[in-house]
Amino acid sequence: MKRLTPMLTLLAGTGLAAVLFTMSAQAAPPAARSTPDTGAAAAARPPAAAPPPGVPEPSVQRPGGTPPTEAEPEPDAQPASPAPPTATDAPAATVDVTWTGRLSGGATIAVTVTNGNATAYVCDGRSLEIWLQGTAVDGELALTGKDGVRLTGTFRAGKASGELVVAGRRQTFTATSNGSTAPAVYRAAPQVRDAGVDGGWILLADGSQIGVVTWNGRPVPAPPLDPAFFTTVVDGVTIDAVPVGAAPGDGE
Amino acid sequence: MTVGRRSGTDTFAGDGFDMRVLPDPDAPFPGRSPAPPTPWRATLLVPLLAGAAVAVATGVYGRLHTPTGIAVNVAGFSGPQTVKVWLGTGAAVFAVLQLLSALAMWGRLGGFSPSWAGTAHRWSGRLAFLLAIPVAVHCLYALGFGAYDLRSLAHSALGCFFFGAFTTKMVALPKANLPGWALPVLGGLVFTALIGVWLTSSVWYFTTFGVHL
Repeated sequence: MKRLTPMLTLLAGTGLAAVLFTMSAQAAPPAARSTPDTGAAAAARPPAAAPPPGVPEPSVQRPGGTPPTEAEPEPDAQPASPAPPTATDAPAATVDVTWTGRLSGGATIAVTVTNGNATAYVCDGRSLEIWLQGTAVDGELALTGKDGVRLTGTFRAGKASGELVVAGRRQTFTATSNGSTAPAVYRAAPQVRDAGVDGGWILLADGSQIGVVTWNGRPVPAPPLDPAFFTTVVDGVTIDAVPVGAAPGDGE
Repeated sequence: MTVGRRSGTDTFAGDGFDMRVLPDPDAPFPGRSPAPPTPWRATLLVPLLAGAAVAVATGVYGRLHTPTGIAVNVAGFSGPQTVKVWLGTGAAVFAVLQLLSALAMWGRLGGFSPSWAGTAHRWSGRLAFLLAIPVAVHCLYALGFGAYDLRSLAHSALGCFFFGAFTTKMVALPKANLPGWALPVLGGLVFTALIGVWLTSSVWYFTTFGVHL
């Protein structure tokens, strides 16, 4: 019997490793994003992607299924209460709305809006990433980025569409919102960017992620963010990411 | 070549050596050694092969598996890296206990050779091993075999070597007719590898990013 104990030790280690590998496989995206944010709240909420008919160009829809207001996004800055407490220590910040969709050129776009301030992130998951800043007021999107990149478009509560002009090339896009107020666009934290590494991630509604990291000026596919900590590791270096354009929530 | 041990060494005149053979520390009775001693090369062959297989398999997996950047995390720490550096530090602490308890078992701590040294050795080893497992899983699954710089390369290679050496020692332990140097050498390799892994990860992390939970 005692001769078996070293084997039992090895077996215990192997078993533990097997369990952890299995859990890791489940922790990795795309399966992982379903947990932290609005699991319960989203279920209780009618699909917010369908805006109530008859509302002429409402402004950004308030979170949590409160009736859409005709007011501009700037007032009533406080998000309605049903912003659920996040289960993890993910930032509790919220945004008013995020639309995600595809550009005609194939890249993914996300436009996130808080209090009328819009941030757009375009990336193809391989070698292209563009950040844009601007406004989302009166149903109109107007954003600009580096090197004369422009985004113009219109939006309703659940949908935004328009066009993006990059280096004279025109691409159209249509993007939709699933009503979630959890931040869906993340960018490498300022201290990481100071160190010369940039990166952006879009958390898509299906739980998957797409992102690009610019590493020493060279864009590379971004490994997905750890949904528990919003960190990832590139070439052995940990990169922290922060939600983009989000108003600090209760937990911040 | 004689190796002193706390108790129960039995001798046999094998291949012309006057060699004192360490009994299996797990063996209940010292006299259990089988009568026809097989050459130690044959005895150690299977443990060495098993260890080599584990080390190579670990490295190959780490190299071929596409790192996900994500693995299951342990609550209560600020990030996956801190989880790992503290688990690794825990393993290193138990590894030091391993060294001390082994020295005590072998009577190398002067008169300090308590009867519970063997038990302490076994349990500190199990705990160190189990603490190292989640770290290794995260490394292998989320990061892969790294060769970005000397540190990551040394860390990856030593990590694979550690699990191979540990496997060799575990498989070798129950063997009855090990040469006297086998367990000290194997144990020393396991200890050295683990400390090397720890120095290239946790200590590097602490000195680079500071000590925090």
